[in-house]
Amino acid sequence: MNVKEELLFDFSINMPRVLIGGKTGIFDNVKRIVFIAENSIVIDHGDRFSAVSGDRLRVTMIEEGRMIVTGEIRSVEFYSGKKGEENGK
Amino acid sequence: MGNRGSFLENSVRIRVEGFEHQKLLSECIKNDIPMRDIHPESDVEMTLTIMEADLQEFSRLARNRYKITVLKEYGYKPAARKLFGNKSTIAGLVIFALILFYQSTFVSEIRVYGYEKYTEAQIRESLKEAGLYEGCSKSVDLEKVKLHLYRELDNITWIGVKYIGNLAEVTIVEGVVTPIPVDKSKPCHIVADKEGFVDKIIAREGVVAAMPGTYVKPGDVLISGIVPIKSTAYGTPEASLTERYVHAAGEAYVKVPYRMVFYQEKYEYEKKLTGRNLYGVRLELGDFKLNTAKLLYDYSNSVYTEKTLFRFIRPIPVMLGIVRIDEVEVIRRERAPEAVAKEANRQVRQAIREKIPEKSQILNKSLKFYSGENIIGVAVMLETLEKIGTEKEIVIGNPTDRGTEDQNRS
Repeated sequence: MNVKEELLFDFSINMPRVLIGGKTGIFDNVKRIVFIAENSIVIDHGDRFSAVSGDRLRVTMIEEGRMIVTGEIRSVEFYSGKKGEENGK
Repeated sequence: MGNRGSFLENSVRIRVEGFEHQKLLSECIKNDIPMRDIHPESDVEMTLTIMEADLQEFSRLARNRYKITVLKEYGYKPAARKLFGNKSTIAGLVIFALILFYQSTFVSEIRVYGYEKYTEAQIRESLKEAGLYEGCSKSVDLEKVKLHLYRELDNITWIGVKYIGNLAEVTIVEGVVTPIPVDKSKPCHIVADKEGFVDKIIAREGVVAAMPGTYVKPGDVLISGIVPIKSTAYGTPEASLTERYVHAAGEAYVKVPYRMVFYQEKYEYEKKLTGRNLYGVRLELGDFKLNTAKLLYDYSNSVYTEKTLFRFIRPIPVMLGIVRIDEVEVIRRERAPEAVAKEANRQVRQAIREKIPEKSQILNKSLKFYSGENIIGVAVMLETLEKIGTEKEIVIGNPTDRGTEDQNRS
């Protein structure tokens, strides 16, 4: 990783950071929950939004800006937020 | 954020009813309230788990827009609160602890190790006499128990008694006398290991040192390993040698006299029931002992019989028995001479079994009865023919120690 990527990795506290593995998804830098249901969860990370879609989704933990979601995760999408709302997805 | 504990310590499962759950969850995220297992049941209802310490803050954030219901409490704190909040539980625990403590003050099992010559029953009997038995208090003085065993049982070299919980482990070590045979290549005498009158000595090697009829004591030489020689090598240094040393071998038989005195009762007593009797109960609970029959007992002579109903060692020593005491009239009469002679013969047979070596031959036996005030004495004389003798190495001093060598030669 170059310096820019290192900085992005360590200090981008308003950007979504997502780790998906099997039936578990880990979302960092969670600032707000925009929508929560069994088949979809939308998360506000500050500058951007992420949305996870699937079946029987369940939030097993929210703590210190980290959210762990379990269930049948089908897709994860990212949206521009606030500044770039007009740009869409 | 202060130390609010953990979910393991105390957490609550709550139901939140209201619209737009996400707003409440976002508020919680903003206020650093950790949440677990968030499950949206429907658009207006969700369940989640938070720490009990955060419940007040959570309610404050929810205000009156959401209805919050605590479904269940988790963690070791509420479990302990529930357990100790019940008085009967506390009472039960206290009683249980007391029983545990009380039963730990008793010996519930005794194991005996290391016995060879003695039987376990003999050792247990001796232990019981010393006060160590299953069900006894652990406060018994173990040093006194050991001393009692040393006194009662012969040839005990070491006794170890230790408690492992309620188990008493008794380990004994019996002394072993193992004569070390003398090497065949070394000269030796055959010496007496028992006193008696020499009957005959057959020397296969060596010289007979004790003539028949001689009274020998332990250590006296029976067959000497020093054989005198007459050298014919006159004029040579060997001519001065007048003896040689051999490994003595042979058999020695001695007549051993035994004198034993037994005593018997002069009178025998017959117990005749008078018809009066009383029943009672004997209860033993740990150190507490109660016998109702003995409280009411006023007979001068009686026969005591007991039937044990039950006896437990664990969890605490408990014993219950029915007791019957029958009053008896004791009639005294002199024993018949035949019975006395029969008993004397039995005592002699037992003494022969215990004291006289198995391969001995009994040459003479005489019984003499004499009467005392209340006893009959039986003096027994026995004469046995026994094979005795043990090897004793001839120690010859080193060349510089002439004094010792001269002593051995003389």
